[in-house]
Amino acid sequence: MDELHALKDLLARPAAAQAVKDEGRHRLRNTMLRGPAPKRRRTRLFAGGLTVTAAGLATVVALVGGGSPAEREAAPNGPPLPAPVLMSGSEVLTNAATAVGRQPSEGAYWRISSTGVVARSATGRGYDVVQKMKQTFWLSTSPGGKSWTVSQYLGFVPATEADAAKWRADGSPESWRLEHKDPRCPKGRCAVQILSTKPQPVVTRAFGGKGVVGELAGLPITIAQVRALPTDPAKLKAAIARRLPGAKGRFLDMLAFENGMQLIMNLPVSSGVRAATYRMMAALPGVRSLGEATDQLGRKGHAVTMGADGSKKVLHRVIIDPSTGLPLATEMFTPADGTVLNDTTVTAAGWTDDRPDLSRP
Amino acid sequence: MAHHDGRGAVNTGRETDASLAAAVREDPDRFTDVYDRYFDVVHGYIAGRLDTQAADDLAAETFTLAFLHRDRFDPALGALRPWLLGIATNIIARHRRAEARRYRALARSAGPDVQDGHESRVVASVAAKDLQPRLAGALAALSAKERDVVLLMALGELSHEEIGQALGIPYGTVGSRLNRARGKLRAALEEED
Repeated sequence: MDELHALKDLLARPAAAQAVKDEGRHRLRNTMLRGPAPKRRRTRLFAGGLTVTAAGLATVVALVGGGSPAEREAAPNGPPLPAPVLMSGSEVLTNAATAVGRQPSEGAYWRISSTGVVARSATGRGYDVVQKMKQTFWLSTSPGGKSWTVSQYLGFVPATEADAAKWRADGSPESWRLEHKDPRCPKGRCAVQILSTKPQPVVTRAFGGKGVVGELAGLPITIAQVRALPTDPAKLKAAIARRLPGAKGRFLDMLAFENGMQLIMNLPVSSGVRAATYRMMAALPGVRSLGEATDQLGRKGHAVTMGADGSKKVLHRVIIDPSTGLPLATEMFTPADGTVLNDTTVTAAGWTDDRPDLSRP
Repeated sequence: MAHHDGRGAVNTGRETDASLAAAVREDPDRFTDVYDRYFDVVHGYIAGRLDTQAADDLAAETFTLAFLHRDRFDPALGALRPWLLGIATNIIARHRRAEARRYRALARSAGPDVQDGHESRVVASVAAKDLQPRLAGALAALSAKERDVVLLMALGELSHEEIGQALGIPYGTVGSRLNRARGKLRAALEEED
């Protein structure tokens, strides 16, 4: 056999899902909009378009779902229509600031656990399957302390109730063999992909070198810098803007929203900074309320949206729990057709003095 | 009417690389067209050398870097495809250890490739499968420079000349590296059991 074709057989992988391409294009557009930004680290931590990245945090990638998750299929034209809007987006965020400001302010670790769809695939047997990833971040507040990510790709499961019924009618198979018609496949020797219901092993990674606890606006941030963040909303926005040279006007607003969610969810900031972040976001033009919304776990909260790419074509949606002020879920979606580009459901978030449990996400 | 140019990228027939590159210089917003035209090519190349999960991230990084350095693209020195794959090759170079691990894992077994995260695994035809551990072993044994040229050809589908453009090395050097690399791989495939 020709060694070049053999190499291709050995290494060819299925083409990327449309959602991966869409996410990458979104990232490229952000770069195009803000001009030459500080060099971005390679690794992305979180889904939700929160463009979180940090040095040393390898391959906890939750970029995308391959289409709208099951739970949203009932509303193919986008998120549920706004219920009668009682509060503006800005009021929702201001209330969240008040609620979050009452939360405890410190512990050994800021811990946040989430689940998100990372892949969706047709099986060729009349139904779709999806794969989720679970992950937990343990972000240390002690200088020189170690922080951890614990993540796990779960097995593929039917995408919707309707898919599950068809799966059972199909004999409840535990794996699916997909043959890809891929232009990279030589004739007659096409790539085959096996999807399994078995979960992948738990993957654990430590980070924290040089005090880095995560990333803000594309740059690593240390625990000392986190502690020095201002509790004044305008100063906080200025602190974010200093990390984004060239970003102005509505593009800065868009990035301030994204990085605001980053501060609230994925950095060990005090409750005062978290409250100031919500107030900073409440002042951004472009924040809209969708009224009450239910997340994938059936929890009710208040939903707000904000443009995600400088146009109205892609939006961030955040569902906030009004009692704690913490986010229940985030997602990026295209309102034109309701496609969800990625989603994150927060299963737990808060301060803890527990030692990191590295056995499960 | 769109048609394939025979190696993976869709050529719309409306616009050549050179005119697209010229359009980008006039209007940087057009760079998303470069992305749409070449994403699959770049993603496939990186996924082949690292894994799908890494490619999901690094393919996007390739285009971001390409955009930031778009002034360095000179249509006189070649097309967009080798330019982008050259950038991807530089990014892959930062992940040499992950790449080597991947080939070693493939050499040990043609079974499930757990490195590939959500992708599960990809297997080839039965005939090819028997030879895969050997081929992966031979690939792991190549020098980084030999791997670059042979994989730009096998996965990136570049010509000798384009490989030279992608890596910034002379045509003759491409030929000699390619000969050495292909010779070693062929020897591994033809080895008697």
